[in-house]
Amino acid sequence: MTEGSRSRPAVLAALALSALAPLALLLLASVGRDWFFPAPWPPAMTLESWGDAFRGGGRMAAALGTSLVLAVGTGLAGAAVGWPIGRALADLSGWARHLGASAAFLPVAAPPVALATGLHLSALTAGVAGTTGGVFLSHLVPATGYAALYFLGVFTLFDRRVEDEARTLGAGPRTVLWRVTMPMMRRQLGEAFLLGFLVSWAQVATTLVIGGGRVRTLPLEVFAYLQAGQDRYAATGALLLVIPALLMLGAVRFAVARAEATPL
Amino acid sequence: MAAKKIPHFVRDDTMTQVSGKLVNLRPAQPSRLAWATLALGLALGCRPAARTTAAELARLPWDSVLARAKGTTVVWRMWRGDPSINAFVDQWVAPRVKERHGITLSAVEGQGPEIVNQLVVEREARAPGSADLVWINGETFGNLRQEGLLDGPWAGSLPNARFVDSVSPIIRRDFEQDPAGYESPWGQVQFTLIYDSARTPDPPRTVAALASWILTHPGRFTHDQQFTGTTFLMTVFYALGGGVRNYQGGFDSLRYATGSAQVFHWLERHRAAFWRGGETYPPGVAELHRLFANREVDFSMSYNQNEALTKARQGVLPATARPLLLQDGTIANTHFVGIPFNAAHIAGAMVLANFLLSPEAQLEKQKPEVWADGTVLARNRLPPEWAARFARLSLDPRALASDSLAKYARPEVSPRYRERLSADWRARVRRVGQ
Repeated sequence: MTEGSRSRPAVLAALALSALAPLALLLLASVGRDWFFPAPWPPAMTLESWGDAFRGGGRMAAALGTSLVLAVGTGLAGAAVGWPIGRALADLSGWARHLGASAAFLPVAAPPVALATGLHLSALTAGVAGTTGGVFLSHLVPATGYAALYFLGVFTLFDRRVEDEARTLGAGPRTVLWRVTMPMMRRQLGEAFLLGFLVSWAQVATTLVIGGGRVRTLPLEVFAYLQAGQDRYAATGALLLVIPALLMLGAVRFAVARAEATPL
Repeated sequence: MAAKKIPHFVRDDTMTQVSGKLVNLRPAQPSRLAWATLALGLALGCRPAARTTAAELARLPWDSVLARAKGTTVVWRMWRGDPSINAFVDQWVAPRVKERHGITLSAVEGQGPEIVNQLVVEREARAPGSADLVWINGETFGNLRQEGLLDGPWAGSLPNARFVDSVSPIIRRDFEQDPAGYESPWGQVQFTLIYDSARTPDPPRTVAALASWILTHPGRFTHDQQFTGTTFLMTVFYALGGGVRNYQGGFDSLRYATGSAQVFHWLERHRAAFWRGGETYPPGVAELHRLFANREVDFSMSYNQNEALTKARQGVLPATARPLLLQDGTIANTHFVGIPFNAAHIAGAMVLANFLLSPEAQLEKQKPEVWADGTVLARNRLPPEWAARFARLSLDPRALASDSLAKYARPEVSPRYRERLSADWRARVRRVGQ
């Protein structure tokens, strides 16, 4: 055994602790009452914020549902739109490629508030402001930017001769896409979906401005509670915010691993 | 900007859309042309032409307003950050207006500048209004009025407006502005400091006493950088400048210059004894509450006389937290509801505003276990049985007595004093890079 492998359990334990300790702290904060310095833990516990999240109006549960619908939709649509853009950019060279990549990068690099204000006017003109559909479209803008840049990298390295070979053997463009390129890109598609999912999951400014307060996602709830000093509610929302994102990460990794294990 | 014409108020007396008659029409198969027109109309952001204004509705018999309100969904844009207020609105107000008036209440997030921006952008885009009622006061009301973004006058026509304490200087003016029927009052609050009765059994009760307390307890006092913190500075501004009277009657830049110089001189003298040597300040009042609750400072503050107790009940502040009035006078104001110029359901919004003014709703709202927001109704104008209920309202014995609240209450002055003081504080006191 080498020195490195002997210290591995300790390193793993430290990693696990650093990953789980913040979550454990959030969990405590979400149930702790009257928890003030210097008390090491809450002197009293209450499930009030968890109850309020799902009972009665169930504001947080409803916001969680909206967030999930938006994130899954944005992930799927972002990957679908980003794919052809990224591929087309990869086909370009010289200044056209730089220009295209910059255009794709713009919604990613722009300050969220500036992006949101610009999109708000478009959404109002299109009559979709204040609707979940409008918020979805506004999330799609940065998500498409990310996905296009991601696929630009993917297709730059992609060996097109595989497609040429399939075409030589008589496959039409559709067959090439569905039977050759997409199966080879399962992992990349999964990652692009995840990218879009997380971009939508973390949006605050666009949701607030385009949704006009009507479309409530979980990050908005967490912010409102934080600003109001309602830390117990904010901690509950933060946990609800972390769990689906982690589950989605795990699910996509699992699906990709399974898909890659099956022969083409 | 201010000279811009308000693109609404197309008069139409038939009001088929408001009364919902369109619903009875036999659903016909819309032609392709109709769809195309609809799509084009949506794309161009056209709004239906027929619209009854709030001022017109205010002249109709109340029964007629009630009839028009029935079956509508009223979108109320308001601050949604407090679970107690949310519960009052969602679980107490909403079911009652639904049951009694057939109104579906939808409370959505948005406050202050957000409301103004939203309405300005909606007007620029000529888009249909997204809110029917907005929770506003002070600067927001001033900006909305200046931009012509509020509908009215209508507030005086509400049946429950007769109970409003229209004699009180705090209620009949909104930061010295005349509401003029463009907003209806629904709650009153007063600034207090918050202290911990276990930690500070004998707290300072005047600005002068607070100043010497700060010097003898270095590092234990600060204020936040937002609205509540500015209200504290305004309290000092009043106290050092010889009282609110010197600043009433509109903004006076000379008086401001003299008064603010005294405030900044006061701050300079005590700054080193502030939390972290006055080098840094909590961004918002929520952060100040956290510092106070965790014993890093000994005072917090709030622009609601009952927040110390409601937050203690929620476990956000220690159980021994208490409100504290400064006897130099503390600032009080009223918050209102207004109807945007492009509201879709004006009648519904008026019925909701009237319900919020009802003795029943005002009493519920004032209960310490509900929200503890002060009423805007005058007890001597209420029917005797309601006056008795308000009198019986078992006020928390730890809360401030209503007569001492009234005794030390001082009205807000022109919002420009506050704006300037806050801007100058940022420029002079707050360090770059925070």
